Amino acid sequence: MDANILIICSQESSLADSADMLASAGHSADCAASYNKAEEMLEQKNYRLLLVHMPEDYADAVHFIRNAAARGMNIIAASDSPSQESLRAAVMAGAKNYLKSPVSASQIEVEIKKALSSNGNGHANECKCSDITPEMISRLDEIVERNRTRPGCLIPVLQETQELIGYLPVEIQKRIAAGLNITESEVHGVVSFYSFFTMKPKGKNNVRVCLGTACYVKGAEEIVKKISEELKLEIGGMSEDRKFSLETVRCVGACGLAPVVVVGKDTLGDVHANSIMELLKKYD
Amino acid sequence: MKTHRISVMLCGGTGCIASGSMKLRDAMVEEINKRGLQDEVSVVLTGCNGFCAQGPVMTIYPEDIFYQKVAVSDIPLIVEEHFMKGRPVEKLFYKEPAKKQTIPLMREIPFFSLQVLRALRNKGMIDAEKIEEYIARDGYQAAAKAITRMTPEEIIDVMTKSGLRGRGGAGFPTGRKWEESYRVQDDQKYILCNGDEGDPGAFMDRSIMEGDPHVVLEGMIIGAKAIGATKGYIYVRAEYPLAVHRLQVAINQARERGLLGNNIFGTDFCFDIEIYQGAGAFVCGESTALMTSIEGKRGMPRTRPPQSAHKGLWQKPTVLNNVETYANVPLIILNGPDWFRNLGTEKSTGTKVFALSGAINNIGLIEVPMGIPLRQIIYDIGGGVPKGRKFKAVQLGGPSGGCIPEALLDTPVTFEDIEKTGAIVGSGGLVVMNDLNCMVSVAKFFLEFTADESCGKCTPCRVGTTVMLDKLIDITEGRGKPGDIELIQSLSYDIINTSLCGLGQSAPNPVLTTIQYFRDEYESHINEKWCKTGVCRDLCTFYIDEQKCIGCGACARACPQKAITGEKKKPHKLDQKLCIQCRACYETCKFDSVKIGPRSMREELMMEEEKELASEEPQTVETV
Ligand SMILES: Cc1cc2nc3c(=O)[nH]c(=O)nc-3n(C[C@H](O)[C@H](O)[C@H](O)COP(=O)(O)O)c2cc1C
Ligand code: FES
Repeated sequence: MDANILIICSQESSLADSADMLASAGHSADCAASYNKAEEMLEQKNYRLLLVHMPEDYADAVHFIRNAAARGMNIIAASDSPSQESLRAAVMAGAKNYLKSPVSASQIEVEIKKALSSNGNGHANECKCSDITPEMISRLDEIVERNRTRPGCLIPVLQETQELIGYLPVEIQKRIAAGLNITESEVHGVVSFYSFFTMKPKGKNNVRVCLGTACYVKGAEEIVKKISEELKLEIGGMSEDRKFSLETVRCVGACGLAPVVVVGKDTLGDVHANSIMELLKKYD
Repeated sequence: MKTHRISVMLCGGTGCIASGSMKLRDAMVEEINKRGLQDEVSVVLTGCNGFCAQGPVMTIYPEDIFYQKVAVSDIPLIVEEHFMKGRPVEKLFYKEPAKKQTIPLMREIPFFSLQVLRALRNKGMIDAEKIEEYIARDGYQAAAKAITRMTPEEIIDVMTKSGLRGRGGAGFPTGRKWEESYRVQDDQKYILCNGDEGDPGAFMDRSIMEGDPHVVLEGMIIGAKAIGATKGYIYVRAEYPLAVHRLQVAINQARERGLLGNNIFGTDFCFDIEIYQGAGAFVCGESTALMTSIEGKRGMPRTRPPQSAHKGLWQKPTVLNNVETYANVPLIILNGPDWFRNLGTEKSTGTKVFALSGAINNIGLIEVPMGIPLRQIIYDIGGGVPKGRKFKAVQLGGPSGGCIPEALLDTPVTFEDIEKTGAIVGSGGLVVMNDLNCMVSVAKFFLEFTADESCGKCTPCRVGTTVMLDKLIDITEGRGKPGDIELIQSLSYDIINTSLCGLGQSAPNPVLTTIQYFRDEYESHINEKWCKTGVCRDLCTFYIDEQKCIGCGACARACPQKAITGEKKKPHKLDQKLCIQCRACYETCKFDSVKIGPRSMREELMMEEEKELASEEPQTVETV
C-alpha cells in the first residue's frame, strides 16, 4: 500500500526516523522541518495523511493542525512525551488520533487504512481497504443478500465474511450494518463480544496456542512465551513479515495431545517450548 | 453391504488425525490393493476410539486386536503378517505399564474393559458419514418407535422414570424439563442441542458429534416429538469444524431418507434441524445466553423467570439439552427406563462420559457407570500418574468445578457425592494434577478464565472475579498479606449469591476448593513467600542438596542457563545469579536432590557464594 504522507517535525524528534521506516515499507513520505515549509508542500502535492509532531510547547502545532483540518486533511499527532493536555488540544484542533512516537510501521498502516476509508466523508458503502478487492465486496454483498431475511443472521454473516476477507475492519462492519438494516453499534457490539471475530488482519499462518486446562498443566504458557519472543509479536499480533499471527484459545478439544498448537487447519500435538519454532519452520 | 473377512477400524478422531491416521489409511488401502485383498479387508475411518494418548490406534475385527502408535512403516507388516499369515503384530500391542506385559485384545485392556458404552456405543464401530452404518446398529429404531407408536406423554413418562439427568453440567432431570415445555401451549416450540462444550479439558461432546452424529439427531427428533417442537438447532462451537461438517452430512442424509422434514415416518409429525455455529464465548454455553446468541446478538444471559420452557428462543417455549444427554435418549426409548436404571445409583442413573487428561497415563475418553469411585477411574482405567510422580488433585467441572484431593478419591462419581466435595460432576472434563502443579496457580488459571469470559452484564461477576484475580496474582507474585484468604472467601460468597447466571455463581468454586483442601499452599505463599512446587518464580529458590546429589549431571544438561556445574560423580552446584527458576533441573533429577526453598534463601545463598569467591581468590593469587 503506498500513500503520500507528510511528516512535520524538527530534526531532533524521533518522528524524523519514521520517514525512513515508512519509505522502506513502500510509502512515499516527505518531511517538513517547519510549519511554513509544510504549508508550502501542501500546496504542491496531494497528501493523504499528515503526521504532526507535538513538541513540549505545542501552541504552534495546534494552530497548524487547526488550519490543515479545516482543509479536510487527515491528521495524526505524535509526541515523545504525551500528556493529557496536549492530547486534548490536538484532538480538539482536529487530529484524528494521537500516538506516542516513535511510531511503528504497523500503527501507521492502521492509520492510513482509517484515513483512506474515511476519505469521501462517511460513504460507508465505499470500502477502501487496500487488501479488500472489489470482488470481495461484491461477494460480501451477496452474503448479506442471501441471509438478510433469516432471523438471527448477523453472526453467520460475520462468520462468512471473516472467512472471505480474513478479518472484520470497521468499514466492512458498516457495510454489513447498512445491508442488514441494523445499527453499526449493534454489529460492532457483536464483533467485539465474540473472540472468534477479529478486527485485525491475520498472518499467512495463524498460530493458535491452546491454554485450556489440560494444555495449561502441561506447560502451554511457555510455548506462548517462546513464540512471542522468537517472532517478536504479542498475543493477537502479527509478525513483521506477515507470515505468522499468534492467538490463544481455550481448549480445542484435543486434550489427549496436550499441549496443543493449531496452525492454520493443522492440529499439532505434544508440542514443547523447545520444539515449537522447529515445527513452525515448515509453515514459511 | 458386502461382508469382509477382516475389518480395520482406524480411528479418525481429532487426536489420531493429528498424529497421522489419514496417512495410515492411504497407506493401508494402497497396501491392501497391492496384495489384492480389497475384497477381503475393509478399512473404515471411525470416530474417536477414546484411547487418544496411544494414537494413532486401530482395531482389527473380528478378532478385536488393538494396535497402538501405528506408523506408516508398520502397514506392510500388518498386512503381510496379520492379514495374510494370520499372525498379529506383537510390537504394536498395548503394553500394560505396571505389569510390563502386552495385551492384544481390546476388550482385555483395562482402559476398555472397565467401561460400559451407552452414549458412546458406536464409538470406533462406524463410519460417521454413512447413515447405513448407523442404521445397521439399530439406528433410528427408537425414533420410529417414539413417533409411530408413542404419545408425547408416554415418551416423557419413560424419560422421567429413567432418571436421566442433564449431562451438560447442572444435572437437571431431562423428563421434567421436557414435561414443563410440553405443558405450555404455543404454535411454535424449539428444541436445542448444546454443543458449545466450552469447559477447557473436555472433549466428550466433540467426539460424539464427530463420531456418531446421527445419535444426536435421533435424540433431538424424539425430544421434539415429546414437547411438540417443529424446529431444532444444534449450537456447535466454532473450534469444532469437523463436528459441524459431520453433523451437516448427517442432517442431509436424514433429510434424504425422510427422517427429518415433513411427515416423518408417514405421520403428521414435521421437524427439521439446523446447525448454528458459535463464535467463541464461554458464556454462550449458558442456556439463556445460548438462545440470545442464536438470535444473532451478543450472547448475554437473561434474567429468569420467565423460564426457557415458557419463553426461550425468540420468546417461544424452548428445551435445551446437552449432546450427551441426547445420545442417551434413543437407548432409553428402545430398552426402557428399568434397563437404564440398572447402572448407577438411585439419584444418578446410567453412565457418564469423561475426558481424562492432564497428568495421567491413559489420556482419552471413557464412559463409566455413575457411582464408580474416582480412584478407580484414575488408577484402574486411567493407569495412574506417569513418570513416577505423585497424584495431587483431580479437577472436575472446569471453571465451575473444583479440585478434589487424594483423601477424597473414594468419593463415588454421582451428582450428590461430588457436590459434597465442593466440586461438580460438570460436563465430564477430568484433569489430573500431579505434585508439579501449584494449586494457587491453578486457582489463578481458572479465575483468569472466568474473569476474561464474564460477559460483563452483572457487576458481581464482572468486577468481583477481577478483584479476586488481582488478589491471586498478588499472592503468586509475593505481595500476599495475612487476611487475603479470608477476603477472597468472603468475596466468593458475595459473587456466588449475587451473580445473574451460572458463570458467576460458580466462578469461585475452583478457588474455594483449593483453599479448602490446599490451604497450606496459600499460607506458605503468603507468609513464607514460598511456592513449594517452584511454579511461582518469584517465590522460590532452587538449590542442590549436596548430601543427596550423586553427580549424574542430568540437571546440568537440562539447565538452559548453564547455571549448574560440577565434576562427574561429585555433588553439583547451582549458581543463584544465573538461575531463572525455570524448574528444568528439578523436573529432571531422579534422585530428589534438587530442592526448592523459599525466596529469602536466594539472598542467603548468593551471599555465601560471594564469600566463597572472596575466600577462593587469595588462594589463586598465591599459586600464581
Ligand atoms: C457459563 C456456563 C457454561 C455452560 N456451558 C455448557 C456447555 O458448554 N455445554 C453444555 O451442554 N452445557 C453448558 N452449560 C449448562 C447449560 O446451561 C444447560 O444447563 C445445559 O446445556 C442443559 O442441558 P442438560 O440438561 O442436558 O445438561 C453451561 C452453563 C453455564 C452457566
Ligand atoms: S485443554 Fe488444550 S486441547 Fe483441551
